[in-house]
Amino acid sequence: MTFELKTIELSGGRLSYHIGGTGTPVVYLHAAGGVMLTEPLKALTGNHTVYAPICPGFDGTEGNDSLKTVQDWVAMVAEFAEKLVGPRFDVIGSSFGSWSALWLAAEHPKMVDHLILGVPAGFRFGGRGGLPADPEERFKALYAHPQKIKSTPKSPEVMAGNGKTYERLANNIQVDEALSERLPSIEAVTLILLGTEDKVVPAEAGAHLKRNIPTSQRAFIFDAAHSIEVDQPERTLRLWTDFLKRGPGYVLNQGPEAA
Amino acid sequence: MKFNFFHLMPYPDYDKLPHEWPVSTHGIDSTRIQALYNEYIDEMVDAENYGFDWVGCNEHHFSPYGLMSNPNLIAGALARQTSKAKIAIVGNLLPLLNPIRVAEEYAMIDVMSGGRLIAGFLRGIPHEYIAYNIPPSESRSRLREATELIIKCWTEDEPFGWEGEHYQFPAVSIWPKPIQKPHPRILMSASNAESAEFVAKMRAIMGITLIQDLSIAKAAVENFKKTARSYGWEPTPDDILVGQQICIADTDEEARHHMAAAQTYFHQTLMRPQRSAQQLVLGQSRYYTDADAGENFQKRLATLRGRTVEEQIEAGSIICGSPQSVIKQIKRLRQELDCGLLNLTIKVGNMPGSVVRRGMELFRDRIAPEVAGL
Repeated sequence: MTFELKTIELSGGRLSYHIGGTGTPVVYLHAAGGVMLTEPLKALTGNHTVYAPICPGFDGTEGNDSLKTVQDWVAMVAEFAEKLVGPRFDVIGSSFGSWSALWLAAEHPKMVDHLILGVPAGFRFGGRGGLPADPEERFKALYAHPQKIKSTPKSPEVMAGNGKTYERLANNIQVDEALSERLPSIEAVTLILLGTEDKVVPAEAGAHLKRNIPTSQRAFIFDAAHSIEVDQPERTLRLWTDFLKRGPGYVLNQGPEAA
Repeated sequence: MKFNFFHLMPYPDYDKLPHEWPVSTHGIDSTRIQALYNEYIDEMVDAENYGFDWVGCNEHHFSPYGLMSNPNLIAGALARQTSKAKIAIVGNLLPLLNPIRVAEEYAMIDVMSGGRLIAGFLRGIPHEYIAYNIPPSESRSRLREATELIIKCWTEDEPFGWEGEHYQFPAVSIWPKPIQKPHPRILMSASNAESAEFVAKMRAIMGITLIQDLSIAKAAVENFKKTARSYGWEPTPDDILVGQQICIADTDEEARHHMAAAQTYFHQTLMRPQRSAQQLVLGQSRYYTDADAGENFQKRLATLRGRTVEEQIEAGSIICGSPQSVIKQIKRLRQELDCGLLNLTIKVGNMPGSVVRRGMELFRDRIAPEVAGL
């Protein structure tokens, strides 16, 4: 299944988004590197309509100076969802996208059904984790298996735009204390995914979320660095689809009859 | 230096030459094995008062070679009956087992013993894979994944799931966690470059056994140190364990006589049935990769089997002799291999219990005082 790139005019400005597939809606919120149409994301379109909005300023889109915080971006996503997706949908985030997804679930609890937080950013306790500045080290931190990258590399200009926009929205926040206080109020059933080789998001970030989000589970994806969708696409997809289909009940092994 | 009183718990009375593996139990009296368990556990319990810093055992299946299909059961008894020795399980054969169960049992042993577990994570020897019907070609990848999963079990307070190549566990939170923080020391085999890489990454104790030549063993130790440095740490002697069969007697002649007899039973009876099963595994699976083809368990064992006791002593393969000779041999190993840990098998094959006990006495009275400070 392929994605189409479209745009929509919202009250706060223009928003580009990828859309693909048919089925129950899933909103995918991208990482600081912009949207990567990874193998699990493509596969997800087999059973879902996947919406992947692009935060203005990312992936070569026109910037929007009125977006100054993650919450500003999330307000735009909520309006997008209200106009295009429907009243209730599932959300998958990746890193910065998981940070955004958490704010979406906190601010709009009735909208978010299943919430999947891939390698969630925004909780760097003690300043641990984060992306190295050195490009080579950064690449190593992102990928345990770079040979699995299938998408075309983004241009330096696009990457620079992504970085600049991310820095503005993240505002050098190490731990989003305001969001942390909201975690116990999150109603969405939540799955937190972490890579066993991920040095960008330490395991303690996942533990903090697990401890504070009432109906949550977390799973380590073995032999994956920060880019779990690239490093272990089959494992990531299996967890996504099981959780979206069965919610917290995905922990039960249903045996061969389940198929 | 620190010394592990290691027990293989062999069955010493097999009066035939077994021709196949798994080995038949026809005619074997289990009440005799009950007596052996008592004898062996008593030796291990007493070892901590005979100058040994650790007591240890390991896992083998389906033959008289070793009576511990689950060494954790023995460790449970040791946890209650000892008070100061480390309890070294060297180790559970991770690729064959449910890693969650290993994490739980090891954590229980650590808690029951007050934080004295040394956790061996081993790959095992080839024929064991037939016992539990696990593909031998998956042995390394299973070992690596199970190791990382067990450490997560020990160190993650919040429940978690695991999505891996060999293991999927959606909801895990073991009770209790180990007493030792962040977790008990891990011990793994590192006799070749491929295994050394992972052992260094995990900052585990490297174990090496069946030394056929000290220069080869020294190269393996040096390679491990070099690899560890690439992972940002410098191994000390406390990170290097060398395994040896040992016989201590009042005179060199007596010790060599006992060792020769015990090794005859060890090689001709205990090891014999496994050879054909091992050849089956080696011939029809990729148990060994190219990296370890030149330095594997079978080759080392075959080399040792063809040597006299004197030749083995000279090569640094075994420790054997009077207390004075044994002290010299230990000092040589310490100097050549920079090892701070010796894993000593005193009950070799069908070595009589009286010889084992005399060796323990000599170790306590004559040897430990001379070598503990090395």
